[in-house]
Amino acid sequence: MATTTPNYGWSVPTSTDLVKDGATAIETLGDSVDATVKALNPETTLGDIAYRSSTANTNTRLAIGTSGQVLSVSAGVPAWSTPSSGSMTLLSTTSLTGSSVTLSSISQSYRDLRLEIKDPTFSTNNSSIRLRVNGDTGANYTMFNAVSQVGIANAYYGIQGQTSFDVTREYDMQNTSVDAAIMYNFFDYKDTTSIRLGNSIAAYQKGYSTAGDRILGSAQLYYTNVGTTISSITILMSAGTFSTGTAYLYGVN
Amino acid sequence: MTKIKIVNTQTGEEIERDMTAAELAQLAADQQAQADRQAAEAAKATAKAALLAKLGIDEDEAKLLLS
Repeated sequence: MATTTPNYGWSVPTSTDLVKDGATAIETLGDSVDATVKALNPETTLGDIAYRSSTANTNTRLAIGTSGQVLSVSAGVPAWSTPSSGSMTLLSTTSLTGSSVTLSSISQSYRDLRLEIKDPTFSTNNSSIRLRVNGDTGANYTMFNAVSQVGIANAYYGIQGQTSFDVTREYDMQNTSVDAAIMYNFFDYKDTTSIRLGNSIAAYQKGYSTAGDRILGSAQLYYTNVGTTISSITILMSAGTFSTGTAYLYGVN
Repeated sequence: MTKIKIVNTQTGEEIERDMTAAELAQLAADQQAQADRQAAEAAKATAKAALLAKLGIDEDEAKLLLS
């Protein structure tokens, strides 16, 4: 009388079975073993791998991935995936004009934001570019600026509780021959549970030797208002209007 | 009139319009705050220069004295 194996349930003849039934018993056992081995080894192609399925003693074939892919987990099972890498996506390119420019409806699909302002010039001397987020005019902007200028002692400014970020100070960028660039980074701009940090680099030059001709400023930024994501950024002048300049907003992952 | 430009970064739609009364008031407040701060810094620099002149030394010499 045939019994079964404990692990796979194969029908196995016992010592008391009739010899005349031996060939049939062996055939049955062989078919069972073959079916089990195949179920445990579903690979068909070079590089395939197998993993346990939700059915006992039955593995699932995972075909080899493509070059550069890594093994990860998707919906609870192994899967090949392309690793995500750092990237920047240009969200908008905007000409600076008037007294202020607001970049609104900022996508919430990135981790950080980068705002670059190229070659801004102003209608009024001794102006500065300021930034305001979400139209927030509260005293929620703190910054620490360090400024280096040709022929002038280095200057450091720690400013608490402003109503906007002022990272360029009173740099005179009116002259159209000025080369200027400003870059701002806002880290984790979607975080609603913590303060938001940022930094900036601002530089301009209108000559090469006269005191004040070349200025490099670096600022650490700290937006103290907690509870809202950053969804808009306003670029505004402290006095006068923008004459030229372009703002590039990037989403960064 | 003072202009303001608003750009929807997802649709690309741009609106350029005159500032509202509230926006003009905020702009004036921003500019006044900046002017106040510039004046305060200028006054501080003037006072510092006057003190150094009275002492007959320059800033580097003052640093040496205090070091």
